Formats: sequence, C-alpha cells, structure tokens
Amino acid sequence: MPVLHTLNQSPSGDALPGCLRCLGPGDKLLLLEDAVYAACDPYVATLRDAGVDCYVLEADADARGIRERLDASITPVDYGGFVELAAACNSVQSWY
Amino acid sequence: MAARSLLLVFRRAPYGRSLSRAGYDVALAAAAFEQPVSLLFMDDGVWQLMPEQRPEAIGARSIARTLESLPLYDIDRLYVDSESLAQRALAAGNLVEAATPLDTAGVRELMAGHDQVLVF
Repeated sequence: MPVLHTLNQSPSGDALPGCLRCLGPGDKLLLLEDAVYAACDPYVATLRDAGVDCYVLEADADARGIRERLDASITPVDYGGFVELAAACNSVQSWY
Repeated sequence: MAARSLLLVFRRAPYGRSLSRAGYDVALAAAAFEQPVSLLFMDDGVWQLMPEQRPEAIGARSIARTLESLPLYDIDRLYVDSESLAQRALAAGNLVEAATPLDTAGVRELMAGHDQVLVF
C-alpha cells in the first residue's frame, strides 16, 4: 500500500536524504512549508530521480514567492488536494 | 550611548519558523536606538529576498514588505552571499530589495568589520 510522505524541512536540511531513501514504489511525496524550495532548481533534480509522484502545497509556495520557480514535474495542490492524497494512501509518514 | 555596529545574519528560510521575524524585530529596535545595523542574507536566508511573497494564505505577515520598509528606519545596508545564491540557482536580479552581493572574502570582511554579530 502506498505511503504519503510529507516533508516540511528545507532541502538544505537533513530530512530530505532520509526521506528520498525511504520512498517506495507507488509512494507519493508532498512538499510543505520550507520544503517547497525542493520543487525548484537545482534541488528538484533529486526528486525527479526518485521516480515517485511529487506534489507541493500551493499556499506555502505562494507565501514564499516561488510559484514561478516551481518545476513542471511537481504538481501543485491546495488543502483539499492534501486531504485527497492522504485519503488515497495507506498511511502518512512525516519528515520534519 | 556609544554606537556599536551590529550585523544581523539571516541564515534560515522565511515563515517556517519565527526566527527571521525575531531578527527583523532586533533590526528595528537597534535602529530605534540609532545603532548602525547591517543585514546579511546567506544560506537559506537568501529565500527571504524573493519578490511577490503572498503569506496571507498561511496567516503570516509578509517578510518582503518588512524588507521594503527598512529604509524608513535608516536600515539600508543589505548584503547577500553570492555563493548561497548560486547554490540555489538564484541571481541578485531576482531579489526584492537591492542587496549588495558579496563573495566569501567580502562576507568574512563584513563579519570582521562589525562590533557584534547576531545570527537568525
């Protein structure tokens, strides 16, 4: 069963490597709070390599003024989308 | 009171925690007491300088707007670490405020040239 991984730490912090290592096939990754920068160049390259569906919470991206910098491979979602992702997965693993 | 030059170093991304807001409070308080204040943005702190921040959706006050108001308090020495920009594929031209880009030697010189350095 897929796991929804949520990351809320900047990609320059220490949570991202562990999160990437633990992503399983079919899992999903949602970027929240300071993790939204991971949806931007150059960090986004490591997410593309991970081969899972990646999402970014648009309120957090807009707050930080990076909407234009989000990579096209990352799907923006609103809070409703967050709920749908959680409902579609078996469990939620939070990386913070 | 003798003036002591103060350098505030912003190293963290905005909004994720309240640290950067505290840094601006210190900047404004120091300026109110006519202490010379300089601001340096490095590491994830450079993200504070992104234009078009819309933090209403997450119930926060705009850091970008705070930055724009700093000249009113005679805080006009803003610096940004070029290395940190390059690591994030950012250019000085992308930023909200006219921060002077510094190379590593310039950052060292800036830190050495102030009486006190506080990191946020």
